[in-house]
Amino acid sequence: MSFVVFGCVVAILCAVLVRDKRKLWLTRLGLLDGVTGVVDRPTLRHGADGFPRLTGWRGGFPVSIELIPDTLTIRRLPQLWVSVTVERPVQGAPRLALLARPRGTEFFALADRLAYRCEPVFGLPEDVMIRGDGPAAQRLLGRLARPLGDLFADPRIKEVVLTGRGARIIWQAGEGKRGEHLLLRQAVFEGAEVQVRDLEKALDALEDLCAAAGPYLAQEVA
Amino acid sequence: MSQVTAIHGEKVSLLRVLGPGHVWALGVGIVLVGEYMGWNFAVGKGGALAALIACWVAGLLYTCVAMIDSEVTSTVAAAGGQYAQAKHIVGPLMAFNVGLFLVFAYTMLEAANAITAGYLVQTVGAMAGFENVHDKPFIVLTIMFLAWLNYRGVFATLTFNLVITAVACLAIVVLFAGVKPWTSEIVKPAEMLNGLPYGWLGVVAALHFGLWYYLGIEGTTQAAEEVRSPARALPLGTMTGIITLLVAATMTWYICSGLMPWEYLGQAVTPLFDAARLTDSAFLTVFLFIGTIFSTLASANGCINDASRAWFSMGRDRYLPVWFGAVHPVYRTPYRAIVFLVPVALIFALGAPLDQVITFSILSGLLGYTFMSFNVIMFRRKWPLGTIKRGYVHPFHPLPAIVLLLLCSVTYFAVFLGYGTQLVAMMVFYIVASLWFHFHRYKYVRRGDQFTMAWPRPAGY
Repeated sequence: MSFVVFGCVVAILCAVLVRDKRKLWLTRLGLLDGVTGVVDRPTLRHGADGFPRLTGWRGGFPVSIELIPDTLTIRRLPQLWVSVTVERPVQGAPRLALLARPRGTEFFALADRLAYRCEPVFGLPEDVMIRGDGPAAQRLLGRLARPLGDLFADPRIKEVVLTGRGARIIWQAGEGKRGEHLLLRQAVFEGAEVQVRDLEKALDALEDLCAAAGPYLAQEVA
Repeated sequence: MSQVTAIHGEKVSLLRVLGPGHVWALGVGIVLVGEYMGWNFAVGKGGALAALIACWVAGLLYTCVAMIDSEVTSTVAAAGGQYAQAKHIVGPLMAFNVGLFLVFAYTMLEAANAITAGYLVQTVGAMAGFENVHDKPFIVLTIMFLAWLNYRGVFATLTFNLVITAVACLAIVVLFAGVKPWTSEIVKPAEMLNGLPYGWLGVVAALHFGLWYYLGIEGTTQAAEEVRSPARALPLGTMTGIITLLVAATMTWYICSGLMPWEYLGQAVTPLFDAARLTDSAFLTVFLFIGTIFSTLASANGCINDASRAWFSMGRDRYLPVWFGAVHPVYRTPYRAIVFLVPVALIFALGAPLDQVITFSILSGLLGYTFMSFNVIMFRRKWPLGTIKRGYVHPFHPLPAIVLLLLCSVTYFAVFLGYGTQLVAMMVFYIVASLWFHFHRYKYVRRGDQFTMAWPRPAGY
């Protein structure tokens, strides 16, 4: 009899798990549904974890928008990052990456893979790590200090990258619920969302960065 | 919970820092498993009364830990707990050791959970008539299953989590009510208690396992936010957890020591489950079986999660080969760290008895607490009050650090009483590991990346 009771408890738990998992999955799948209009010819795909990836075109350049769950930093709540990439070539641009609040665990960040450490410039928060390909990245940083400073005024911004292939910005879309994380190390991003205005603002900022870097690099070459 | 506290002129609603659900989580999370197994080895070392005294003295140790850790955590905004603190305040070698402390404390706890789950399944199997059930396959199954869940990054939701932890917590409460402690019908402490069989030396010895009630509480309450100001940390979360555990520990002690002779209690694998069996109540037996299983599985899951993240972090920081810093391209989990630690847990779970595995976990935790006492003294010396913004300033410094160091020293001696070999083995391991790091690994460390806080130069530098 006791084992029948135990079996019933396990069965009920499994049913609860399946029901809640389905609800969580649906929420996750639809995170970018409301922003597909931001790009032309949108294509929405989903990873094995259910988080979506949106690709399309804007201003004639390929754009990709991706959601990245990050549960890898010990003693920190899980994070949901949104990564927006504009593939607008910037001829001859060195790679430059600015990473806010570096922990060493940012697997999605380019900054960690660059060896040259740039000196900080006025206007950027103190906890931003800046890396590049070399001295050219430092000069480019000096030129773009103002627009970068404006971007990092938003504390949600995690990384801004500029390379010869384009630019990328990563910011926080959501943070894991504390209770679930403390209990069973679960990542539940209740209320996480990607808003159209944030996305448009990010895309405009990236295009501006690429546009600003172009003439500067032409001057350098000249 | 609707109180408001002013910190540096910033009103912080406690509900924002710690909602009711979080208090629940803190009290009955990973650490509750310490009530279900392990604490009773303190009874074996000094008798039932000694175990109770050790429980309360350990509470004092953890109060010091909570106070010290809250100040440093609230100021070192970089998430990463003691590992990040060590990087910033002491240096890479200390951070490497602290990382190892975390990994082995949690991995040994995971092994202990698996041993308990395996033993329980074997016991219940025998009760059900399956005499040939062995514990070892279930030990392996537990570790492999939970590692697989962590590898895949399987997510469960609040309802599921709450049910598991509610059952684990409720089981203790129901057992307490079921044995009617206000009568002498079932629980007979007057008959079972026999003073201090080893005298006051037994009380000292019992402190060894007295830590088990609370081990890990300082870590389970830490979960930094990404962008919020660090000036919100209060020790309230940890203290609430400690008080909850103290109450649960005393209840647990009372039930078990009133039902079982200390000679048996001192070596039992599942003291609460055994207590339930002794009541002859099938309902209580099943409930405690479920509670123990849920508690051990929840704890083991958290241990795999935390240990693998710590190993992963050390790989990313180049304290270990960067190979361990890889992230699964699909599941986004630290899969190599998870897989690497599985055989480590299995070796100890299958090859060592429960009390020794717990001792290894306790020793790693103890080394971490010893580090904390030096850490806060160095922290105050390098960055005195007023030089950097602190979210919380713990009172009576350096008294908590001195008390913590003293209690840790006594606990090392307590471990030496009966587990001297394990103590020496652990120390040798960490010394050898440190030498390896210093002579072989340090050259790969990016020294400039270790310090990420926007603090002024330390005093004297």
